[in-house]
Amino acid sequence: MKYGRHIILLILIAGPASARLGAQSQSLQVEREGATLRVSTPHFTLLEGKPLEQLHNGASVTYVFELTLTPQEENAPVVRVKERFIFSFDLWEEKFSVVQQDSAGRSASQMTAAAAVAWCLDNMQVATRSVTPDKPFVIKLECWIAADGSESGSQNNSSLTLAGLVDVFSRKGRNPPPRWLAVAGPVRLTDLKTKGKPKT
Amino acid sequence: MRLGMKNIILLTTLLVPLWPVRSLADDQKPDANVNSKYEVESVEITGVAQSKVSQALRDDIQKLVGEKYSSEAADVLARRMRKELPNYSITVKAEKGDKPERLKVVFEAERNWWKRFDIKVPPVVYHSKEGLSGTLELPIDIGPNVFTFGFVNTADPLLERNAGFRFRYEHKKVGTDRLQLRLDFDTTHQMWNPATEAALAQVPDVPGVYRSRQTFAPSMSVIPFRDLKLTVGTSFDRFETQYPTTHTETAYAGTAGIQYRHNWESADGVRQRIRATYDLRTATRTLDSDFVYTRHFWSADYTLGRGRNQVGAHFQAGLETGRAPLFDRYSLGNSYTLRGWNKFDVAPLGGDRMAHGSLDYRFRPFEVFYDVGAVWDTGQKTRARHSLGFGLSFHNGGFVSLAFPVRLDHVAPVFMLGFRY
Repeated sequence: MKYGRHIILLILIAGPASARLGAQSQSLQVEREGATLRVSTPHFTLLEGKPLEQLHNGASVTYVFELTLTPQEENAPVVRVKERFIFSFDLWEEKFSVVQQDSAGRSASQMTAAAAVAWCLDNMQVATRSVTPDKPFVIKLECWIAADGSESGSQNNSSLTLAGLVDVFSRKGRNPPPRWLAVAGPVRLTDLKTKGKPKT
Repeated sequence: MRLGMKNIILLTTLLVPLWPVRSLADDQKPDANVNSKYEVESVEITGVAQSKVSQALRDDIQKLVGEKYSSEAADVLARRMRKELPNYSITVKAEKGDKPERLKVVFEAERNWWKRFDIKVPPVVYHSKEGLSGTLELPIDIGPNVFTFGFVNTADPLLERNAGFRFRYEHKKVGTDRLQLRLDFDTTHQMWNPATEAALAQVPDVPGVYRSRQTFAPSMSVIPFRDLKLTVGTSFDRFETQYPTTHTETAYAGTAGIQYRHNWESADGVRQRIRATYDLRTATRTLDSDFVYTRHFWSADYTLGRGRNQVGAHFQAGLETGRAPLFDRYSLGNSYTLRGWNKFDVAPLGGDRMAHGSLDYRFRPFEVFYDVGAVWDTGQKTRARHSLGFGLSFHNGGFVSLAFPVRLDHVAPVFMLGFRY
């Protein structure tokens, strides 16, 4: 076939790229609850891979959640909410626990992985007062793991060795920490479903 | 400049917000882990011989037992373990204990495969009077066996410049962690400073220069407890003496050594470290040696530190009886003794007696030091020499310093730069 080689090459290039995009960006469900917006994403699998392994080893993992609202015709977000949540896994109960790292220090425990993520999103309230009701906007949720400075390896290698140099030079090339992204919109405030009375 | 009360208040108002404040949220972090309600039942170190981890660290790890689990405390200990075992990846794992609602904490060490064949660069020193000295070593670990191949070209510790190859075999666990076997084989060619060759003509009692030397030294070490190491062995040296005619001579010696070291840190953050060694080497006709002599060497180091400040006192002494070849004579005036002096000005043929002391003070990497020492032959008058210097000394062993001999004439500073662990 004339284009066979090109098609295979295209599949080889496009396949992993599309898989990567699919893994990173997911759809976000947005509901209106009085003067605030609530978001949810049923397939937001934060608790997997290395972070999950760390949690199963009894460590805490801090996730940073950031929600932004950007009017469709603008580049800069008009609303930005950023929260830090400390996850841990109860080794005896085999359930997740989350503590919101703010002055209120809200927490919840005895949750499944999905419930733990949903609890975090529940605690991210976005005020709608900065959004014009009939103008479309994009709402974006980003999540990443906060650096805790306790990376394994030999950062403090005290001897001059080839491996020490390999460590130093390979650090830059390591995979960046995972980020998760979910996007909704453009939507109008007036088009959103209302969830009922706001919680107090 | 006069500062009025109003200005002070203004300055305080401006500076106080810049002061780093730990937020309440940060302070809450230690309790954020749900497992902090469980008590630690036991701790374990896996993947590495216990003897490779310092007693102080093992003690601190043991202190977790009976306490509520803290992932932060475990992480701090893991970081210390990474420092002590740079060739390993360290993972902390908390697991369900044997009793309900208790945890077992495991510090898992895993040797990094690429470090199994790592090239090590032991002390590398540039000394403005001696030039560059260094060794390059490739150790290969196979279980408790370590095979090391190396290239050496150094002029720092001895009167001669050695250039050649090194092979070493170590068995770190002969049945038990407390028994170790080691075989050293070095083959080197020597170069001599003209000052040494000129001095030899004046002092015929001192054995002459040689142009090549082979050393084979098997030894066995016993570690009765963590801080003490006792070593016995033999050292077979053959060297090709150049004058009056080229011929081979031998120095076959029995060797023994004691090493003691201890580190501790008090609750108020005062760190102390003691190192003490004694080495004995006795070449005898019983071993069919051409040279007959006994060499004693003592050294002691003490450092005291708190926060970023550290003071150190170091002492070494040597004594020889009999007639030792040049490589076993003492010399002072290199990158770690009588810094600032040229060893060929101090004693171009070395001596059979030596005493040296050193004091240093460090604040962060900044260092000032004072050295005093003398090297002489039996029956000669001793002359103590002094030197002063300053420089930078880093935790990774890197250093750069400038040292000055304390004397009235021709004060030429010595510049030193390198890595030493």
